[in-house]
Amino acid sequence: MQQIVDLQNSPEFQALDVQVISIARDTVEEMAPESQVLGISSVPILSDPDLKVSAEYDVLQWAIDNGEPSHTFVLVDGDGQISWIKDYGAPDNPERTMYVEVDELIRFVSKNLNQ
Amino acid sequence: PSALVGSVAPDFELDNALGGKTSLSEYSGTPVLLFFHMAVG
Repeated sequence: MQQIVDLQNSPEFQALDVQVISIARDTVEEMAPESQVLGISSVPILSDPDLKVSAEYDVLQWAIDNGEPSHTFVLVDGDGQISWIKDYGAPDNPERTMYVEVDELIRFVSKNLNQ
Repeated sequence: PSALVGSVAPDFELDNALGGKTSLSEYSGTPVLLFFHMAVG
């Protein structure tokens, strides 16, 4: 959740005018208390209990051992087209991480939206 | 290493822990960064 908090609270990321949406398998009942404690208010925290949306976006190819998405970003441009996808958490990724610096995400997003 | 780059993003509507439901189409015209991640609970 720290990834979401840091994106939400970054003035530099906000300046990109890009809406972040979080998607995980947890139920809303499981995610609501922590979202509130962490002060998440502008990033929708969505529940994908059957992983249907995760499968549609083909992010389960990088799933962790229990079949859940790992740490994958999908950028959709203003025309509704997927312009960038990158996974950071696949078990076979030698540079595996479950946290990406906001500056790195800003660079990728800016580059792929031609900002 | 995705091949989906360049294709139309599938729309969806899911329950939002902040309340109600949220769909991708709500943000039509706005760039969206979807973040798929492991369970937090």
